[in-house]
Amino acid sequence: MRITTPVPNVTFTISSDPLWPQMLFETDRSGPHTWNWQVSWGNYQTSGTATTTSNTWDAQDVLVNYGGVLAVTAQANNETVTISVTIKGTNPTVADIVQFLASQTNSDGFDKILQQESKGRHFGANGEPIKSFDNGYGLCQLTTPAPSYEQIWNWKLNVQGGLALFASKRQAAIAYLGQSNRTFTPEQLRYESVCRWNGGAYHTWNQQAGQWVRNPNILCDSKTGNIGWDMTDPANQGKTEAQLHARDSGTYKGERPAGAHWKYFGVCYADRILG
Amino acid sequence: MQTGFWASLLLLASLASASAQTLKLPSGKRLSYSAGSGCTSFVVPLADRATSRLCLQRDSTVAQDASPTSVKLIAEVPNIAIILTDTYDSIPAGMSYCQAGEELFLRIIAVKGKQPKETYHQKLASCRQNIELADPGLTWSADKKTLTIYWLSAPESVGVSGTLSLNIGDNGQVKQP
Repeated sequence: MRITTPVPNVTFTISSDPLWPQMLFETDRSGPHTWNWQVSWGNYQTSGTATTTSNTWDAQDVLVNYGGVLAVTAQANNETVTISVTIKGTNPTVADIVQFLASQTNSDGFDKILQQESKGRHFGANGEPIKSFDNGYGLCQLTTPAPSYEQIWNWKLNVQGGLALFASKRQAAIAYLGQSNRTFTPEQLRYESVCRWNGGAYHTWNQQAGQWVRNPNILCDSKTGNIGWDMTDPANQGKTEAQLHARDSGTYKGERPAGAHWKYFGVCYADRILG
Repeated sequence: MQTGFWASLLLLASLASASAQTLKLPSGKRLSYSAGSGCTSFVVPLADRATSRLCLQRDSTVAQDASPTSVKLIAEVPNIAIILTDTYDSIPAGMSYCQAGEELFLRIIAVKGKQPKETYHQKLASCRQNIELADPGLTWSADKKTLTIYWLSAPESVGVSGTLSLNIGDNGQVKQP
């Protein structure tokens, strides 16, 4: 008994949509077949069994959302044969990602984060999902909670995983801005949510004006992504951005030194990303 | 060789003392703290004027070797307990998530007896866990020896407010009335 289709080690490619390709397996025997399959990538794996009345089987349906190395064992008339093939992915375009996010509820602001941070890459040059140094996977570099196999291979599920994290920040932003029955605008909610993604609150309540305002005590270093200064710190008071940059920029690389008078601020992150 | 050993020891001791921070308590006693291996080490003044070291755990949202960015005294119940908060940078995740975030812990340390003991701890605020204090977040009633925590986003319930009252007993143990 032998598998006539596909040839061993062939590569099937997931489209950028992402759509999983037809993956036809066929043997040179006739009659009912049992197909035991196992797909694995890194520490992830899943498996199953399918039966057919003939000698062909399309693995497309059971393999949706999975990639890596697929091993299939066909069984018929007490004979078995095994084959391995590979499933790889194709990156979506930035337009694909933006269009998908637009279809998701409460994603206002997350689109900007994703564009800034991921650069539209879900798969590496080898067609496998990108993995960061801290085991963050895919477009959204999901780490905690640990992403599922499906979230690692299907970029839309990966984005939904990131969006779930953003939803928590948005919910906290609504609770913060809406405390004591205070009102806020959609734009304020966007800034507050993006700020909290990076850390901390964007707005403070101006009692006199009776409205939320950007935290007036934070001056951002416009030459960086999210570095800034707390201007209530006596060491920073009375100095301009240029003076503070000249003083501190030499210490930006590597770990923030103890006693430094600059910090990472979500406020600066939101200003940078949302403009 | 011998001189080198003592010189190294002296250097280590001075480095340790250089990294330790001190907090003056209302009673005039001093509490010092520094980052240890996976914990924050507090040198706690006891009721009998002695001091003792206490290593307090953080959680997985804080880097193993992180030093507190601030330690604040909330209240001192003389010769019974010290109530304080310690803050750390969050461990950032991908896409700059919580890169500028903070993790804030409440500690209640009983100082009666020969060894200090952490009788209660609670996460007060967390970027990684979406916990946020209200303003004000903590109020202390000295006469009732009761600390009340007000959350805008309480633990395990994002966006939902919560309140928790803690009563400090005579032995530094905590009761929730």
